[in-house]
Amino acid sequence: MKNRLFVEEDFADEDIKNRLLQIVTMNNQIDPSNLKISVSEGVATLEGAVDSLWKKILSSELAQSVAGVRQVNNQMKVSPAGNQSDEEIANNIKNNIDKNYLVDVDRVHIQVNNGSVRLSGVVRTPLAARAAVNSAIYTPGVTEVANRLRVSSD
Amino acid sequence: MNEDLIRKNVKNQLARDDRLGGADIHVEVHGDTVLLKGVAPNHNARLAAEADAEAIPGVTHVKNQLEVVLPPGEDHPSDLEIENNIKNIFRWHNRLDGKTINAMVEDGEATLKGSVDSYWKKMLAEELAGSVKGTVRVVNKLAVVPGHDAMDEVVAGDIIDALERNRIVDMRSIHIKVEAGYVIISGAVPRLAYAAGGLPVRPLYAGSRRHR
Repeated sequence: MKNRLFVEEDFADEDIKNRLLQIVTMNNQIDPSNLKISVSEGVATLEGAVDSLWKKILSSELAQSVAGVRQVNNQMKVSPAGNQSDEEIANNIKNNIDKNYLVDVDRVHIQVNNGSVRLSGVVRTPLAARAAVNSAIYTPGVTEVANRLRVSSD
Repeated sequence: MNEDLIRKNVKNQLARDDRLGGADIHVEVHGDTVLLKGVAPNHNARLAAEADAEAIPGVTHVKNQLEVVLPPGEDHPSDLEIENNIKNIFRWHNRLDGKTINAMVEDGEATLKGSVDSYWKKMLAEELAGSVKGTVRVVNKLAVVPGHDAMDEVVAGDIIDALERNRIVDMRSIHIKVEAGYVIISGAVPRLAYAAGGLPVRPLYAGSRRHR
């Protein structure tokens, strides 16, 4: 007979923190040198700076996936490495969205203020809204994306 | 659609994707198929480039021939370190059972073996292994065993072992699912003869085949 019973792990904050640190350090897309992690009663707080929004989001996703983490409080700052003007960023997002057949670019308004993006207007499906938001997230220079898109099929 | 236009659109899309980190990617277009060649800095950047090309109107197929070459001048982890890191990621993950997945790394190529209980976990495991520093490629040999039935897991393991001994079949393009003794083998093999002879089971019909 094999005894496969196991004792449920009790996650100590210190252990969770060490795991989080290792996870971000071993990731091939995040530079952990400017990242500070603290864990208190299962709530992980991320602080520090990254050079792009998608890396900030990825950090949250990584932290959320670690067993023992109940909640992630991401206070990381995004400071882009290049210096894209707001106009350049808006154009790049517009072009990216334009390539996507799910979204009618003429019905989407893109406002950029110091790298912070606000998307408004109308898309046909939730999937299209997601695609538009993703286009913005992966565009260099973007520090934040506010999704104010309305989903409507007419 | 015009090949030049598709090529231009793909190039632009790649240039505007921050995830690629200035990777040197060569784009060829043949009809509605895009061929990506060159070098990506990591596994996930390689997949991001593929997704970018797929998003361009007029593209129906993307052949991803990008090779992952680690950025020079940096300290890269050893195979053993990569292997331990991948195992830890699985162990610490809240949606995967690390005990049923095994990882081996050789020259930066990570091979995943064992079983998971759903297809999305198989894909998640691949993504996680590909996100670890030093991984240049992921060979995903995980079988999907929905019930985590011990007998099914043994059967899946045996089939994968048998297929591996047979060097003709490329495991990367084959997917195995076992549920209550019922085996589904799907994917692509180079020739029908391999489909029949290469597998340790008798085929009923070509294509996706089922065996009891």
